Amino acid sequence: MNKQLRELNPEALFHLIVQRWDLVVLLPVLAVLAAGLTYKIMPARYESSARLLIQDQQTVNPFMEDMVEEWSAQQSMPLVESIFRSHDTSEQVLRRLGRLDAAASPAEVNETVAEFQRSFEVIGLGGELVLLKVRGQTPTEAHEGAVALVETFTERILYPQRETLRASAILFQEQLEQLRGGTDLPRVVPPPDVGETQVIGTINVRKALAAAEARMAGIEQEVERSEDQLRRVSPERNQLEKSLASARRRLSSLSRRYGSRHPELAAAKRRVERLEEASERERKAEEDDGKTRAQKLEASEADEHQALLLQLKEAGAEVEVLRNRLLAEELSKFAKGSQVWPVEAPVMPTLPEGPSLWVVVAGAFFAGLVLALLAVAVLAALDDSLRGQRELAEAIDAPCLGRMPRGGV
Amino acid sequence: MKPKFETLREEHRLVARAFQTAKAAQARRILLASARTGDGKSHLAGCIERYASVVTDEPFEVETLNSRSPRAEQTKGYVWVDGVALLEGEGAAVLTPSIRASLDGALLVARGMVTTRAELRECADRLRVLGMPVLGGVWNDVACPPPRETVRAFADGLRSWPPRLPPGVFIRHLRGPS
Repeated sequence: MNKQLRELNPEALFHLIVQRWDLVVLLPVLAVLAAGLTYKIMPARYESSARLLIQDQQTVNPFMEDMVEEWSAQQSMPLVESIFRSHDTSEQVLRRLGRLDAAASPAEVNETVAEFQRSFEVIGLGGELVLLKVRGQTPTEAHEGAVALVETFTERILYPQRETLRASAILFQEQLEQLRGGTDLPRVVPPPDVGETQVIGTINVRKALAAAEARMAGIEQEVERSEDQLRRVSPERNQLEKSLASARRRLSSLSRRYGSRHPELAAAKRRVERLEEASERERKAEEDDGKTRAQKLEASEADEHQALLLQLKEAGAEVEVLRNRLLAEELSKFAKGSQVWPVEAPVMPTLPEGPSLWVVVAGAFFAGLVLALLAVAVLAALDDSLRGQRELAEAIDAPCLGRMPRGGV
Repeated sequence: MKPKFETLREEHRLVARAFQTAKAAQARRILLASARTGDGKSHLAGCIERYASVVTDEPFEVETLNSRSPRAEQTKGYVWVDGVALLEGEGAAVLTPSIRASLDGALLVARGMVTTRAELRECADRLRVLGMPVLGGVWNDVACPPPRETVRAFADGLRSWPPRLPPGVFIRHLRGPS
């Protein structure tokens, strides 16, 4: 077997490629078709990302604050990752999203949790910044997953300090109540349990408080309007009484104008009596009608007034609760412990992740071309045909006299 | 006056080298051989016929191979014999002892990127076994068409396909009595 290296000049290389032109054309075309088909068949994946700033403010020495913060950031990353990657967090997220049935068996739970854990990744961006990427088959699935994961993580990492804070807030409120006298203030409503309710940031609490105060102002205006309406019901009754008095005044004037025995007087008396009877009937009817209407109006207005008062009380209580929660949030700024700031909230993805169709097609074309060249190289290695004049001379063990060029004759 | 070797075209240099090699080997009648039909023997013979007068003053002649070739002493100058495809048809069997005795050496024409090294090696071995020295090789870049006879036979084969029975002979005659 000839162990010598084969001759390979540029001309021979060109010939080798041209001889296998079918491979060089066919493989890229097939690769492009396969890539296009795969792109169309494979389901699209969407990715929603969020950036969180997790600050640990447990400073020991104020003069070394920066160093300590840096040190604590390095130390807290494993904790952050372990909370994100924990089975409990994923299970809680899935239950919150309704993707995990309450009656699911442990095996199903484990499988679903493992699948969910594969769909997101946590990347430390250096310092205290963490990037969270959640993938899903639909934009909504990815976005909801990211939101629920951020909320659950926040709850779990802040749970110990929130508990401490809750107790301190209650104590603080009680002391404040004692200082103010404790009589005119409403009962202190403790801050809500963080583990059970949704954690709302300080800004959200401020917004909710402003909304509740605006609602309370609106209800107060409604109460004033209902009192005005109640006042407006009484003049109608006065008007009926006034019409009866005018009828009586008319009767007395008639009796003064005519004598007692005049025939015209009798006729006038009869007419007056008829008028009086009519007036009496009208008065009675008016009285009855006015009374019932006024009673109805009064009753409905009173009910509405009561309902509005009730709403006013509820709004007042809500305002009080929100004020307490705001106080707790403000206090938490000064508390020692971790803080989670959503630098970039999860955004609803609009485009599927991964390269576009044209990039895939172009990549497949070049991959096919490279594959074809590799195939040509393999076939050329197996091919024994002459590649140059040196090989010709070696094969016949005699000198090569020259070449007859293409198109020379 | 003949032009300088360096200023010649490639085919001219090839012919000049062929004459130099023949002169050096003291060969007067040289066989042009190849492994397969269409490798370029006739093309090389054509080159010699056209360009030899440009590169040399030696008398020369180009002839085809047949059994009644005259002996070298009867001719003056160099005789280039357009020879055989050694690995096709009768191959080297065409080179009868009388023909071999009339030839002084052989040039092997190989088609680049087509003829394999093994084929070429076998051709050289066969020629040496027959007692003919291999003077050199020629690299042919031209895709030479096969001889007209081969093309004609192929076209005739296509034209007469599928094969027909002779007149008066039918399928039932071939099947025999049923």
